[in-house]
Amino acid sequence: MNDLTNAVSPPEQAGRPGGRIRSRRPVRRVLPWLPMAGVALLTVFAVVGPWLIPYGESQGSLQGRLAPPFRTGGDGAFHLLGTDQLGRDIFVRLAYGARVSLLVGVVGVALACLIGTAVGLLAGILNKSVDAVLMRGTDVALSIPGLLIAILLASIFTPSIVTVFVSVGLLLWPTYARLIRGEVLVLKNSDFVALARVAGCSTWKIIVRHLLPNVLPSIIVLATLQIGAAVVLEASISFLGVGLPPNKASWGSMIDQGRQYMSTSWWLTAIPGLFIFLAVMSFNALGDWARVRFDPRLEGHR
Amino acid sequence: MLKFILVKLTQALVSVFGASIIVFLLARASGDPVNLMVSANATTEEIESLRATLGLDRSLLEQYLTFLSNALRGDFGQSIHYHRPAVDVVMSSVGATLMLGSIAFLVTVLLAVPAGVYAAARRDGRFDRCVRGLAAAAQALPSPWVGTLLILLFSVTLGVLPTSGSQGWQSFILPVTTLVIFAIAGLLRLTRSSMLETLGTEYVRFARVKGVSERAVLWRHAFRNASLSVLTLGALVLLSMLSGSIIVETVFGWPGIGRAVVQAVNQRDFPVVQVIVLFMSVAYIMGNFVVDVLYACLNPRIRSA
Repeated sequence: MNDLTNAVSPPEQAGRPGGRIRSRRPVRRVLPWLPMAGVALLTVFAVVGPWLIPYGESQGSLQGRLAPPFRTGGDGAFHLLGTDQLGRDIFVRLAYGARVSLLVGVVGVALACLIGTAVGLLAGILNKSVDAVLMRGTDVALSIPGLLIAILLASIFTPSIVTVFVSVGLLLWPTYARLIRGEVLVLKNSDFVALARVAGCSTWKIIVRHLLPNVLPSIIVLATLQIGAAVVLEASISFLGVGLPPNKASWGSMIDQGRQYMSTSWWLTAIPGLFIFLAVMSFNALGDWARVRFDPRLEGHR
Repeated sequence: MLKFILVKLTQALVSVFGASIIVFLLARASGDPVNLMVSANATTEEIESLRATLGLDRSLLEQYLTFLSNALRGDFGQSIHYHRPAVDVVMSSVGATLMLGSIAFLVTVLLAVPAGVYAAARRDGRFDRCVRGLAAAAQALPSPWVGTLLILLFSVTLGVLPTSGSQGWQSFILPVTTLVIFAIAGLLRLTRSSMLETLGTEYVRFARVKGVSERAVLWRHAFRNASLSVLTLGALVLLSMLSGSIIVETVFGWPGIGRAVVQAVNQRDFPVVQVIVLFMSVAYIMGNFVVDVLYACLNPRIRSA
């Protein structure tokens, strides 16, 4: 159904400056230092952040609640980024939230990648009826709004980080399936696959030895592009209160819980949102760089 | 052409069928509705008789067929929370969502298309770099945060706009802005890149050589050809407003189906959840079908595919 959406997204490279002759800037940086630094900082923050400050994830005192950043709270303790409505240290909770976001980004995307690549490879290489069934399945999966899947899963199972992984995986896999299928359909008719068949390779061997290595660059680029989307998704799921259990810190639920105190304590919502924004910006910039560098055809896939 | 439409229609109907199976299974997996309906001291016989009345004692296939035939007649059962037909509950909130979504869609298109066209016209110019930066930022902004900050700025601090609800035109401004920021990046980028593609073609260069004005080259020659892909994505953007509405309506207390579905899940009101999930996915599938057909009408090369 949506083959056209893929077919119509033209590679950015195909364009030319609108008729004017102008000197093009030197094409691409060797490495995207800024986003890489962002991701590295975030990772370090997630790993060591909780140890930098002597407060626990859900430890707080009500006397020290709603302390502004860089001040000493009502309980006489110093909190770098302030405290929330229960007196819990925001810096520590942000660090735990960073762990959640990174984990969901990596595991959720890996899951999507696994399902989507398998479906795409099989749909592309096997016969037409398998293809039809798998692609209709993909259409159905795409047609249910992603957040609804998360909400429904949360209503069926006890919310935990695993349901968040599954929601993100279920939401993102169709993009892989479509992309990989499209590439396999092209590769299938190439000489080296025909030769492999003549040489007596089984379908399984063709998939593993000949198709998979050829679609790998696209998989990696799409994965990089989707981590940002996964982080936003996790934030939205937790914001709706259907993600991790409420006492666990997550950037999305921090925004939600801070909303009630918005008029007096802006930092409860502003700071976690800023972290989401910077993290997603970094991942997206990294993904865009990878796309242009390795696989310009992927413009429009996100 | 007729064959193309029929094939696409069949595919769409199969997808709707698939979606109905998923909705049905999810609702069954979500637990036994009887436990929510009976009082705590109900006897086993009472529970059993209620199960029989609801048809829960029959096989899964039978239950699905009943569900399907009822659904086709627009009957999704009673809302557990409101004690009236689930469809009525949903229908009373669809209007608010459609209104919000269509206004946000119009604003998105009116901003994204001209910005994309002019950014492509002066590639790497100041305007282009500005637009690209803004699009990248919009893509990374989480909508719950945008919504909350907008409320903080315009409702709490400045006190010029209402925090929530849907009374008067003022109450549209913040939710629409949030939805536009949520949706605009994709359309903007696609408009820009398809314009870049058409601007590089022979016919555009020829039009320039002929001395056609820059404006006519941009809109009449280049954009007209780029508009096909813009149209396709535009329709998908309209549909993505449906899922965007879940967050935006929750933030702004907007009485639409996005907020209704979150509430229904919290109240374990599964008939209502079913209707909304099915409504959203059927809207998506049918929207895609319409786009495919429209696309084929406008672009003859697709029809044979």
